[in-house]
Amino acid sequence: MSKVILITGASAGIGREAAILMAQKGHKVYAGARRMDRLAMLADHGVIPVQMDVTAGTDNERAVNQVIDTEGRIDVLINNAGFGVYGPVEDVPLDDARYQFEVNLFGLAHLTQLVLPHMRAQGSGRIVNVSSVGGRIFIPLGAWYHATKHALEGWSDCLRYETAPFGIQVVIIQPGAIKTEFGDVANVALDRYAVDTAYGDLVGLFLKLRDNSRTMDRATDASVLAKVYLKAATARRPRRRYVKGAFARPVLFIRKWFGDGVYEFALRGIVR
Amino acid sequence: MSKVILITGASAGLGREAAILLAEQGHTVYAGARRVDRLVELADHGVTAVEMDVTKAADNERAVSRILDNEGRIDVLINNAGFGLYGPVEDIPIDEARYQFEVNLFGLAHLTQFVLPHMRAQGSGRIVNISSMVGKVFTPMGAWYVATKHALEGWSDCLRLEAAPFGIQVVLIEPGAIHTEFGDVMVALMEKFPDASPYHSQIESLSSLMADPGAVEHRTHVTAAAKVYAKAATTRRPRRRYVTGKLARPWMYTRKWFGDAVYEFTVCRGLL
Repeated sequence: MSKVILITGASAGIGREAAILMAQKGHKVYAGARRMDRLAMLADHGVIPVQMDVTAGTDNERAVNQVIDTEGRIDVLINNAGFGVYGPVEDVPLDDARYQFEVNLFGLAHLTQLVLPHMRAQGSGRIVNVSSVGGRIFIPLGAWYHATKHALEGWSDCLRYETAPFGIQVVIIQPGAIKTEFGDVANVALDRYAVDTAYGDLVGLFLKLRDNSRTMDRATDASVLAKVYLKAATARRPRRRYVKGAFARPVLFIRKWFGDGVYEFALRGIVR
Repeated sequence: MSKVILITGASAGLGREAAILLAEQGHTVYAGARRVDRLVELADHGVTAVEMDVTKAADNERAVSRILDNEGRIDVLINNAGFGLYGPVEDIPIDEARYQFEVNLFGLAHLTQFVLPHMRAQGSGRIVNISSMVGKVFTPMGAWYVATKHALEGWSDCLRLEAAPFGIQVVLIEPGAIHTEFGDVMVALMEKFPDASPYHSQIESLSSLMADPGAVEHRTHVTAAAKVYAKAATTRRPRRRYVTGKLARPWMYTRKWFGDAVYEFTVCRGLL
């Protein structure tokens, strides 16, 4: 059955791939992003571009109204927009940390609040929250990013339980290492904070890892993740969590079953 | 060896009890809270009262400067201040969620940023972050509180790795059901949701359970949990995490070993 879907952060990476794939499968896809020029070519695939910044309350209202006014319903919200602030806790200004939360959690929460009444009225709906394997594990210099994703995991678990009586399902996707712009954006942040820092050794190791081409070669293609998005958004009985992408399963497994000591030891092996 | 300790949220509950215990053990304890009138009697136990609101940057700066001026060092920061914002995601204004994060995460992060340079200069120090069992598990109606505590877990894990090379240890405490004002504050916050809320029955169930005298009595006494604070703050080789208090271990165990479905069917259903 064709579904009405709103997906955020669709100008690049997995969001873009997923929007195209879902439209090709016959769903009505509204794709939101700040960079409208980058959404233009999505229209060729039957995707409807929506200019929106999830941190702007009025943008969220306008986007949801547009979908409801046009389609009369909204079946799936995919909260995909997000980015990673990387840098030492001591050096990252609190306002940058707050902005990281505005994009990765508060913006998404506001958008969710706007769609919930419609989904309750329909007696059905689905919220797909794109977390990360980083919602369950951690790496040095990632404190603020991991904080947002850990937060999203717990927040989504609670939301899932409270909306279930209304026929609304909440699904979490945990991508691993994917070939997207994520790393580039994280690196810009790191370069900005890495000037005059006491954490130079750690930053150096991190940058070395970044420049090691083998790491990114092993990352999973965004198109593979797009299929997982499609499944999470449209499967009749979705799972609570979908894990996909390079490194995701091994790191989750190690932390869960061998504990933090072994996990940290393994991490040191990767970084060195 | 006697340590110089700053603990926040010390006007009541666990913070108050831990401040007294640590002072009795011979440590130099600075106890911060907004309600300084409630700190007065702590002075009889040798605790130094500090008026501070962790969400105010100037307060944090003043508290840390005062300790350094008087003692010349700071050995332990116990980030204990926090509260639980409970209620349906759909009904809680995002600004209240932001404030929950200001108190439970951003304020604590700001304070931590202030002490880190001094601890690095000393070549030693310890940050004890008070999380909760819901840093690892979740409860219905707890989305925002659970989000802050999940976030704190991931954030602290990253910080631990960053700070370790400087001799700074980061420790998490995960209290379960403790006999403090936490439940009263939580119930009071839930009372303001309108009866017309679609989530009314869930709110009612949880509120009455939290206020039930039987359940209240069943909670762990603060003195037992305060001993865990003292251990985490002063033991020579601290663990990464300390779990203390009723329900904490069984809930975490259930989720880890039996998965989310069983956790929801037993724990969450039992709460509503």
